Amino acid sequence: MARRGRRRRSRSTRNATRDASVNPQLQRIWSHAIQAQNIGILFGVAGLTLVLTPLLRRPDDASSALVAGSWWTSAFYAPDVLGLAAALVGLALVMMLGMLWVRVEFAGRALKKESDPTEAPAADFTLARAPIPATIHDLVESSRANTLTWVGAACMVAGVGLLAGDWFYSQQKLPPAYVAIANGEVIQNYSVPLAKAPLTANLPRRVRLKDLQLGAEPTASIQIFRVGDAPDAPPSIVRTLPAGTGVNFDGLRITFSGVRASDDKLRAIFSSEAPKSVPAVASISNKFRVSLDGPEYKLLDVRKNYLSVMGPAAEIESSELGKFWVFERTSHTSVSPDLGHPIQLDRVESEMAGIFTLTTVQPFWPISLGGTLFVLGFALLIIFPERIVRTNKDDGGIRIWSFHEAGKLADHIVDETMVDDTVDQTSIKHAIADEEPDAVEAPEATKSESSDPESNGDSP
Amino acid sequence: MTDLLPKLLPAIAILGSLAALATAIPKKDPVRANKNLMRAAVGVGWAGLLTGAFGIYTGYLTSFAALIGTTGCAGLAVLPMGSDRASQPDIASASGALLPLAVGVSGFVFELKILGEPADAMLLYAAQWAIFCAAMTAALVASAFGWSHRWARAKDNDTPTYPRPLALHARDFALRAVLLGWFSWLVLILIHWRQIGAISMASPADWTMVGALLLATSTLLIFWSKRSVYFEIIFVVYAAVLGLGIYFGAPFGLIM
Repeated sequence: MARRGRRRRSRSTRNATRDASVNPQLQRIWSHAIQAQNIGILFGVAGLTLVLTPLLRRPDDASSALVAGSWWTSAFYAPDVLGLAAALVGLALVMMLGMLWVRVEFAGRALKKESDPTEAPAADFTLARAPIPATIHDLVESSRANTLTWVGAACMVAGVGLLAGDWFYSQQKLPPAYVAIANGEVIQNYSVPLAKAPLTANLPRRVRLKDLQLGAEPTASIQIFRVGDAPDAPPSIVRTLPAGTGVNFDGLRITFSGVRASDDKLRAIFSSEAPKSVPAVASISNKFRVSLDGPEYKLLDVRKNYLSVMGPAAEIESSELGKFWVFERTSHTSVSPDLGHPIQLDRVESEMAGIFTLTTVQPFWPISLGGTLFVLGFALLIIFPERIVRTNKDDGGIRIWSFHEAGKLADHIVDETMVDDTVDQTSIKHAIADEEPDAVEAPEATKSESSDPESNGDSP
Repeated sequence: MTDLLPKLLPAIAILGSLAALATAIPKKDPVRANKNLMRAAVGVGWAGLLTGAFGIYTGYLTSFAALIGTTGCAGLAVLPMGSDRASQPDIASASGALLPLAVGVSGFVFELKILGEPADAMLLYAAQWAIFCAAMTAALVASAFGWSHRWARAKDNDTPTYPRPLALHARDFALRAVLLGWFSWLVLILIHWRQIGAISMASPADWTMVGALLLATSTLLIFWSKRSVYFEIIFVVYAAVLGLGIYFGAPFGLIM
């Protein structure tokens, strides 16, 4: 007992020393700053900034640089605004932790059944009743502050803070981008759709789509080559990716996101006037034959409407004829002109391309840790809800505080006081928010009105 | 059978809404009956919400009916559950079930199939957004109950009145709804990570989602414990300055 008294005296001395060391003006500013409303205003300005900025910076021609999806779901790059919003949210989170700490300190004092109400923050619910029923005293005993409650609240704030920090930080870097790669195509750079103009970013390696399998479960087989390797050198990485999976290389991650007909990836279907020939399908840079013993051709280019008037056309190269163009319109004439080659262009169609997402490699631990803290805090607050009940003998006041169970707790208090109640001795004052004192008249409550903290308090 | 499954979620939302609405019917033992009905409605809401979220996450549910049904269930999930002291039919709490009911019915009325590669992203955002909006709507409904309670006065001064702390209930539910919104953002982050290996697509949809969550949190905190109009005035001045600044091109970093 004596040891406990010494410990209490030591603690109060420490607190007094700490209070004396803090500038009273700063302390006053801090205590005014950590009000829920101020924190709410900071969150509100940050939220308005995030909601309005994409609308204000919407590009005039959003589709020019888009490969897949829409402007709404494609990357948006505005690090300056993100910095402003991140600063506001960070400041608000620090203030929220300060507000929580004040509540923790108050809850520690709330262990005392009787206390001075002027030192307490504004109660969520006040009930003036004399004498205070014994059941309420039991409730005060059973609703002592639980450390795990504060651990839960701190975990939630820390978890959201960590996730938000990672969210803000990751978007300061190169944003994710969709890339369409046709079958057999090799890419060395990709385009990031920014507000003013698309940004071309170089890849650290060449990426080739070797094979694209369609169907209910599409797969893409990709090859990744080192820079400087000969074109016929073996790839350094070969992967067959089901939809939704990816591979990391040199700080980048390429993920196979889906398949779609590409507007700018075309392929041509050829036939031949020569006997014993079969139609052939070719993409750009593919080689093909139209007869078993015939010459080999290479497709160099495909246009939907050559020079805007000539219609579909394909540029072909062969060892015998060199480079030449074949036109669909000419191929379909009843009397074909003598072009010196038997190839006809049947049609040009959009090619199915693999849609890949390119992102910089990001660590998973902030998401893992932040998500775990958030869920842990959520669970702790459900299992160990904050319930603070205090009584005051002088005015018979019963006061409660709770973050998320105030309504239920207030109901319980009213229920308990209604048992064996002589109604003319009781008065109830509902004290949330700006409840006017005349909402429920209280003959005896007028005595405690002057000492009621909620009349001038602002704390939640 | 596969066509019926997506319709199951709107049906669940309607069932839960009807259970909540039934609390307004006079009963012999209203306290116990209303409490059980409300708990059943909220339980059904959570079951539908989790089923829908899992189905959408795994790609099994891709129809508009499933999406809208999940939204309705989310609205039910955050319905007032603490009406433990309902000494009379809880009309206010039951009225909150009207919105999930309307949402559930619309899942049967409207037909929209979402397919294709860009639709995956659209569906993902739509689902998250729908759950978030449902939670916010329920929070607003709960807040409205709180305000309506504040305006209530004792009818007869001779008869003592025990005002039910409905405003506190409303605040509790608003807090839960906001937390549900942040929770859905966490799910969105995990889905993004699974799909593209990044925390976010950094798209306007992501920005709007986080911005709206911050605004919802802000609203909750500003009206947490209203003691004077001082903070509301500050908030209005902030919003007005920001709006005018944007309009006149003030250098907030917002205008390029």
